[in-house]
Amino acid sequence: MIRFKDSLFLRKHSPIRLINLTVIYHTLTKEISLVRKLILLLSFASLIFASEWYKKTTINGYFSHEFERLIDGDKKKTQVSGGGSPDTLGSYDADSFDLVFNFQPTDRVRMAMDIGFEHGTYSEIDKGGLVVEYAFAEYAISDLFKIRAGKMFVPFGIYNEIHTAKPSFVQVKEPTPTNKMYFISNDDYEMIGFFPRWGAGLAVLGNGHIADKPFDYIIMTDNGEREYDESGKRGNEFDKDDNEEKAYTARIRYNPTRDWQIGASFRTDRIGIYEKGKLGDDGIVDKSKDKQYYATHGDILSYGLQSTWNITDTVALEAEYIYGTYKIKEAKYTTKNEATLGIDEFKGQTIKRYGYSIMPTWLVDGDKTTLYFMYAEADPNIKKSQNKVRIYQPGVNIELDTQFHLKLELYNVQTEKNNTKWKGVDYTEFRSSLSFGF
Amino acid sequence: MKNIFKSLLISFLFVVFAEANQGVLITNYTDDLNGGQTKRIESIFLGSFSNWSDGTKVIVGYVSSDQAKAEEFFKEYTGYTLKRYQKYWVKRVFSGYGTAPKIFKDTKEAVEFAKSTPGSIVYLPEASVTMLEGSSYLLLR
Repeated sequence: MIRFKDSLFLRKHSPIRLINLTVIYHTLTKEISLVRKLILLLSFASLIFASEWYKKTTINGYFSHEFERLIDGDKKKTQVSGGGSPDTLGSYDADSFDLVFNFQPTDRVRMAMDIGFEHGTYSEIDKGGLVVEYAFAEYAISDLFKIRAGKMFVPFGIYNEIHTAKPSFVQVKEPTPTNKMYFISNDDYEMIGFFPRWGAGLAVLGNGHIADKPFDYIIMTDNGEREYDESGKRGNEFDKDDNEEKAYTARIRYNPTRDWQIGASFRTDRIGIYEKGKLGDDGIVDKSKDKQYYATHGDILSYGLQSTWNITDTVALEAEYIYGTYKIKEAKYTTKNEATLGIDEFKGQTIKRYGYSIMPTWLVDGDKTTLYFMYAEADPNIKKSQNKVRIYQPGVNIELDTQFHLKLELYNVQTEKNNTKWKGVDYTEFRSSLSFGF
Repeated sequence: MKNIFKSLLISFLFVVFAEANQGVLITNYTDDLNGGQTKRIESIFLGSFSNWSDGTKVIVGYVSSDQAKAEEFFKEYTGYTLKRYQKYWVKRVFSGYGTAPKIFKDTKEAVEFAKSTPGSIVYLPEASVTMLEGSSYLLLR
């Protein structure tokens, strides 16, 4: 604060000026006093608010840093389009740093958000990514019935809801045959996942007991996945749907015993694709031949089964199986508007596919070191022969400190010759990661 | 002299208290615990019982200093080893299903938390009578 009384400025000026300045000084002093009181009051109020806010907020998070290198396999042939290629050079990956917030404004309302900084996020030069994994509000009417609204992970199977939280599972990454179909096939239709990562919509969820044994369930409806349109743009399904059909996901988990949990998941969705080209007899659009519009949409149906079994205090087994169909319907139109409306069904094909993973784990060396072996397999189109991908994944997970894990594994991929992505190329990659949860 | 006797008595009570049970659940909602029924305690510590009968949010905590006793408690009341119990909550928190129990290294700190936090329930492997003075609690036998 300026102290006018002691100021050289005042001493050097005339009495008249001094009188005026004295009036100004008193006025200012009064004002400053008021402002000071106001600031003090606000500070006090904000401190109270902050302390209350702090009590109702929980912050957690997780971190993952990886290193991968191809150690066996053809360096050129293993470099495929569309993601999933092994790292031939050996690279560090600042995989993710996520913050998880839980706000409990009232006894029954919870707001949750997971915000992730992936691959060294640097937006100015388009490096890495900033992602809201989920951001929702949940209202608990009872334990059996809660309502959620917002962006959520699609609650399908074991891994999707934890796929970014590396400290929460044993191996380096979630299994691709059930979670990343675009790492299994390059075919436009086969590469569509059994379910998307996220959805924006509503969910009801809860838990209770059946025959004295605990269960939990979640039923979610969302806009569904949006595909690329003819201009190569992908719409934002967390903001706007591209068709009237909503997507539905449901999952129930039940514990027949304290050590064994089984579960079943279901997902249905309609994905719209609008493109130019000539529709062939095989039901596939040849974009190079014609300029007519075709509306394509695919109906996804996916069914999942899961099991986690703590066989002993040190040995466990987890497994997941997903079977799905992708029914593609194509219609021919002369204008994009008609195509967007999607009136008549013209041609179609149905892709049937499956993927599964099974992983025994063994906790050795007291409670710090876990040995594991994951086997996973996918057939992105059962009708096609010699199209499968198989993954053998032995590894070790060492907990260096509480929730601080070092993971080392071999990732052996064996593929069949008709697979559109890998074309019979096999390889082995060394994978490692440091992950931390707090 | 009087103080020495008082201290000896408290120490004696503390030892008896610690030896005679599997620990203590300190909460103002002992009536909601169904007499310490395993299923109810399991639901609370696994996060599937979220509001007390008056609607107050359940806030769970436990003291981890006595690992052997905590291990025994979690095995008995949740079916998980302490390690698996922590893993269970890691998955639950990161997938958006709630907030993890608060972990205390010190019984005194845990008791203070329980006394000052509405809706809280805290597992203590052991506690002295004086420490619990003025609190509602349930002895686990």
